[in-house]
Amino acid sequence: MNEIETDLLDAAIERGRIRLDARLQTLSGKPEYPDTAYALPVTYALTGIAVRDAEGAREAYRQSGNNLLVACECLMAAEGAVEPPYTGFIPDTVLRQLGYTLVDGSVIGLGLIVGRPESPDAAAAICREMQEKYLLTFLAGGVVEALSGAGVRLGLEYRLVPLGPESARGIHFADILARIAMMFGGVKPGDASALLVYAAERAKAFVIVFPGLTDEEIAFVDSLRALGMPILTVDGGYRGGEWIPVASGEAVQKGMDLRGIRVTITAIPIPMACSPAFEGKSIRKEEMYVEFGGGRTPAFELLRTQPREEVEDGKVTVIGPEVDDVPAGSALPLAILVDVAGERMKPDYEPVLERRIHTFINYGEGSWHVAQRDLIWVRLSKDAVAKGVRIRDIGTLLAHKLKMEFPDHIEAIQVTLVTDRAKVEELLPQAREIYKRRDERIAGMKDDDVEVFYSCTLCQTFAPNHVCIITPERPALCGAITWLDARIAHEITPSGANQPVEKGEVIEALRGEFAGVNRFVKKTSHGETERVSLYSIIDYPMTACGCFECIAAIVPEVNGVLIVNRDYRGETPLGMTFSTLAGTIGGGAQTPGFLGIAKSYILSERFLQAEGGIARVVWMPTSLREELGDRLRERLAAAGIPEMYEKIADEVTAPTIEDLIAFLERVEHPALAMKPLI
Amino acid sequence: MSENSPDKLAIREVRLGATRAEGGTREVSYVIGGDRGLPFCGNDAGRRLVALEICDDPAIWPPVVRNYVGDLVNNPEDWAQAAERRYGADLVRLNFTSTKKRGFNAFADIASTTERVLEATTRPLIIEGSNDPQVDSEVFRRCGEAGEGERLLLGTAEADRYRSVAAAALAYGHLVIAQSPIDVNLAKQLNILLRETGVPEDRIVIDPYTGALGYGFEYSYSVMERIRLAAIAGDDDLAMPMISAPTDTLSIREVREAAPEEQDAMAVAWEFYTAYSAFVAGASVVCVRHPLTVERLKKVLEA
Amino acid sequence: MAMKALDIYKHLPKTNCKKCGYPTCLAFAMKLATGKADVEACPDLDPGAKALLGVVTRPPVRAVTIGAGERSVTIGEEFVLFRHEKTFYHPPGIMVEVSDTWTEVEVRSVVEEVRETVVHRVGQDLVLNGVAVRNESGSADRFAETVRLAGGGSSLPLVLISDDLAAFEAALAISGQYRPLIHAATADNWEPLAALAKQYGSPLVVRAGTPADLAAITAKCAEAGVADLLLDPAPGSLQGYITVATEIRRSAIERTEPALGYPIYLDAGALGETDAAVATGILKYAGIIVTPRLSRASREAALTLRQNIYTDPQHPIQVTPGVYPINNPERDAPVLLTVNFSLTYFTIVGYLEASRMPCHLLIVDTEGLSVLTSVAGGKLTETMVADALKKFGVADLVDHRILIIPGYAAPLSGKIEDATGWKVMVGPRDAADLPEYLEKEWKT
Repeated sequence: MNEIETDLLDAAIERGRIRLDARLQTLSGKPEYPDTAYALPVTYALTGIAVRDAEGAREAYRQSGNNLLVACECLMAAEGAVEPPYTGFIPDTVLRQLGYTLVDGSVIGLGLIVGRPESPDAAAAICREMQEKYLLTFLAGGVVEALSGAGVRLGLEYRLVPLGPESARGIHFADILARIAMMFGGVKPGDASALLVYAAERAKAFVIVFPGLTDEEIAFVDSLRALGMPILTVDGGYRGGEWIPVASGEAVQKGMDLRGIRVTITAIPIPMACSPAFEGKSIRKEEMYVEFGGGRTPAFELLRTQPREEVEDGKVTVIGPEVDDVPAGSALPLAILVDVAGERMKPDYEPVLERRIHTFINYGEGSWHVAQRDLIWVRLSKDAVAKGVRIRDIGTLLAHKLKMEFPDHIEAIQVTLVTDRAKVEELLPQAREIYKRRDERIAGMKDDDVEVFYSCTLCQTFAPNHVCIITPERPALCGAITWLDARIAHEITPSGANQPVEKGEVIEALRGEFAGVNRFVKKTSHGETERVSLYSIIDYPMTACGCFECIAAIVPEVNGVLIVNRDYRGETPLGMTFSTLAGTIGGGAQTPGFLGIAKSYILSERFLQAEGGIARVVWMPTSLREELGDRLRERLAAAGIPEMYEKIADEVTAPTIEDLIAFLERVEHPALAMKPLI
Repeated sequence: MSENSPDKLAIREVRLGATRAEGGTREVSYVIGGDRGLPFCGNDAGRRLVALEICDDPAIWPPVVRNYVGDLVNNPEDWAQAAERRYGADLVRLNFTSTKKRGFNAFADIASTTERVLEATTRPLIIEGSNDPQVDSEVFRRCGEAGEGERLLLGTAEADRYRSVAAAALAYGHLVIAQSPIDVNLAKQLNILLRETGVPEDRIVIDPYTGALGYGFEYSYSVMERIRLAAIAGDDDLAMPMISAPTDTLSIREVREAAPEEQDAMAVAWEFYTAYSAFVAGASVVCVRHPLTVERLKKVLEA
Repeated sequence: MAMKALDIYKHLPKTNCKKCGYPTCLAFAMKLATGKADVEACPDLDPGAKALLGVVTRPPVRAVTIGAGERSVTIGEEFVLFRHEKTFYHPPGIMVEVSDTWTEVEVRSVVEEVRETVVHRVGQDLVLNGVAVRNESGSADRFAETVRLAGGGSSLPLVLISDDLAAFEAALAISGQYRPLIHAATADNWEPLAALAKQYGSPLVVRAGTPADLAAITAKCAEAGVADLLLDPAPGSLQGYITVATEIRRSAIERTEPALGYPIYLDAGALGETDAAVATGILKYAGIIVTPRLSRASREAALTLRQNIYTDPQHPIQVTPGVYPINNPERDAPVLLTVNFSLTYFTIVGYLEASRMPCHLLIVDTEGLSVLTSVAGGKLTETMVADALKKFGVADLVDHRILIIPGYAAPLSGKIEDATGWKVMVGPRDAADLPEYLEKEWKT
């Protein structure tokens, strides 16, 4: 945009402003609207003044700081009514109906079209698109005639409302917005900032401008920007200022993108049904047309964040053969590359979204997916392929489902499916690098690195006063939610079960007691629990609901801690089974000496930190030790006690407390020599 | 137990219905809520209301009620009037059961029935609209519009279909019944969603969903106690009055299979024990279907 | 305040001698913490520790047993103010009253009703618990005779209601060996009544107008050697009862007034609306409810309410696994799979019965967990379904081999097909959609 062009629009705006100002100063008619409780609504909303005459108009204009919208409205209100098919000012009763559709979601946004289009057909196309996308459109100016001439039906019932023959009638768009804000939005007259907030967040609107505006109309349209509306100019009409030039075919989408208006699509355009009902359906060898991965061919899936300009929303590309290029029963290599872009998207969220690929492909009736990352195995059934399903359709499915599930994080998504062997093999090492880096990142995330933990109250149905505090080094006790999962869950559903917990001041670092955590727990446990030490089993340990994977319990006789998992049905040396223990420690009560935990927490450095760490563990069932396997060995090695793996007793070496004491003494277990637990 | 000062209300006051002075045409309006502590422990302020449920299409209405009420089931305004004058109900809950038929499109009837029932009654009105996203928008707009200014209590909004009820409440000045599936956290979430849509907090009534006695009632009972306790502890998002409508009660086996001469007694006993317990748990409004239950509940409440 | 297990443990000998019946001292400590064990069980505690632990570990509301033998009823042993905090443990005993001014026929008819009434619900037999005999004749002999007619306590527990010492003596002469409940000791007559109660080992109700007065009397009775007491706060209205019963329960739970740590007695006939009073007693802490005769409908509703309120929220009633016919299914009727979580069962049965669709409902044992929970927790598996089909002979009931599974069990559809050889149709997630689903999708 060159300087001269910028100046052109700005100059027109300035000229228009001067003329409007002058006209208002000499206004003599009576500015009023019929059938409304809001006087001159824009003026009323912005200034709190109910204008009834020209003097009042001037006073309001002054008080508003010479706001052009006020001026335009006062001038228009003195003009009088218009003839049908134009609506002019819309009465409150009709407006209530329109406002209803905005609140109930039948209408997802508002648009104003002004000016006179050079091509009526282009304008008609724009209107059609707005209708299809559930927008309520208001028209002012020559565009009305042009559309009628092109055979487009106008009226409230078509959601194309002809306000008046001059573009200046677009001021009614502003008074509609102002009234909706006051009627439904609780905006009080005179509270200008509340009006702006409402306009920005609830009544998402944009303006499309065709050529043919007078200077005053240009000034008027420009002043709509104050209500948060982007001004899009079409047909190369106006250049400069803050107005955004667009091609007419892109205007609607651009307006929707700028205001964050999204249509929720429910039908996916592929020849295959897609629903959770098909999730468990597997495709047997005889039923399969083609398969990918599963050991037969290389295959992997990868979701990455990309810059917005590099992602073409909805684009699906296939590189390599399609499924109907190979005979039934074949195997092809596959790389599923999903690129997403969004202001709120973060690389940390990639694995969370990537995990959904598995579920969504299984929703397809005729597609099947197993595992993740570079271990995937995918099949398409003969039935599906006969109905026309191709690998491309899997891409379309993923693009739609992912966007539907994460509408606030994914602004654009594109999927590339690579079935060319050479290309897949070329991309595989890069994918593996990314997986490795992610693992290191999560493993490397420390509690000290973050200021905010997350809570989970999902289990409060069963344990009304229990709240889990989830940290990077301590997942939820059910084992299902990591700190990252909780964070993204909170972003998606801010009022949901995962809430941010400010750490606050560190009260005691070794035990992990934080002032902010205490405050939060006290509130969400309804006063039941006042203090929590995140890293201790003795002093104010975290409460438990009932769905923990394991229980850690102190064994005072040997100064240690035993761990028993839910799957283990037998006795522990304490003389209590998992069930018995669970019955006494669950329900949201704080039970010193006992913890309900996730299996993965056993491997965390914070587990039993206040009591000396993993060296305290004296007993766990063989099944649990085997399950933790090498990871446990690595953890013990990292703690400097690799030999401890054999020193942890189990139900075979120590079924009773006496056996346990004897065993631990024999192997010289470190816990025996540590500080007494109680 | 409460952290609040003794003057703070635990449950917000909510006004149902509007008299002429308040912009409507009702002879009375009711204030529910206003409690400070546990129910029946000396802290109650607002009314406890017994509503009689009626409908506009009795085809799937419990036979025991159809038999008792007779011809009235074919005429909602007569039925509503009888509810007030003969059966002693504090108010009527009008169920638009006609909307359950597949392909429903008689939207004009929604508006006219609402008007006629309003005209036939003098008390505030509860309306249960549709339960189908396909017709919700139009149904709630119509009854909302027809009852503009009357402060109707419109039901029910649920987590995935609340916008139309909210829109009608906002557009025409009504109240919303927010229903959740027997879960405190979901109840709270829905109230937050409604608030974010713009529904004022003093226009929301919580319906935690009430299962029939013997068919899950205890879950509902405990959730109601928990909601009241949360409100007492200061949780603003749960500090609304509650409504209990154990609608499945009269379709249970015990009532269906009772001997004809015992059916009314069984229906009333079942409804009475459920409804009364709901009041003890903290409900401000309880809805029943058998006229005789109304009388018995009113007697107990007035004592 | 109740002590935590670890703090209790610190007072124990820590020898793991097992004399208390538990394998370790920690296990014993945990049981004591829940009030489910008696400190007396440990022989090696010094008196100081025993006294301290005794006070903080016994149940806040004392357990009291009324009657003897098979139909005795134990009440009390309660720990919470609201059932959702943990659970209510002992359902109140419902005692139907007779007057000693009635004829023999009238009395016998009530006694028989109490003895024979059984309401069968969800695998439990719900019964009325005993007979309350009211002394209104003014005659001690008449009172005793009516007590005898009521069975004397040998088959059904009794409540003896009088204000005449001689009447009590006569009645206890007949029924005293069967631990009848004596109503009531007041500020005026507690001494002789306590002596009687002690003599026969009978539980005794204490009656007074305020909690403070109740506490004063119970303390005296306890000192006089009567440990099994009940509290009758003499409410003047239902609201009055709720208020005072809540206060009493709270004092007991928070251990601010141990002298109020006893079950509560409610006379449901004295407060106007009997059904409302019975319901109130069930909901709000009554241990014994004395009521005039109830109609059949009221009885059934009251017993059902009692069952519901006293169900442990963490152990919801489970339905017995099996295959259940609904609406008289024939061999072409669909087979629907569901779980034994009572709420699921009731909801589905409700919709199915109302829809009048004939079908077979196959219920598998997921330990009372809902569909969603049992699928997520791995408790609902294809093996379990295959075993259930075999065990309950479903293949013999129908000519087809199609199983309809709940919507939330969709992830298991393929595996179930593989494990059973049956074809699987995935039904709706919401039970309310079942009738429509069956109408649309079920074709043999």
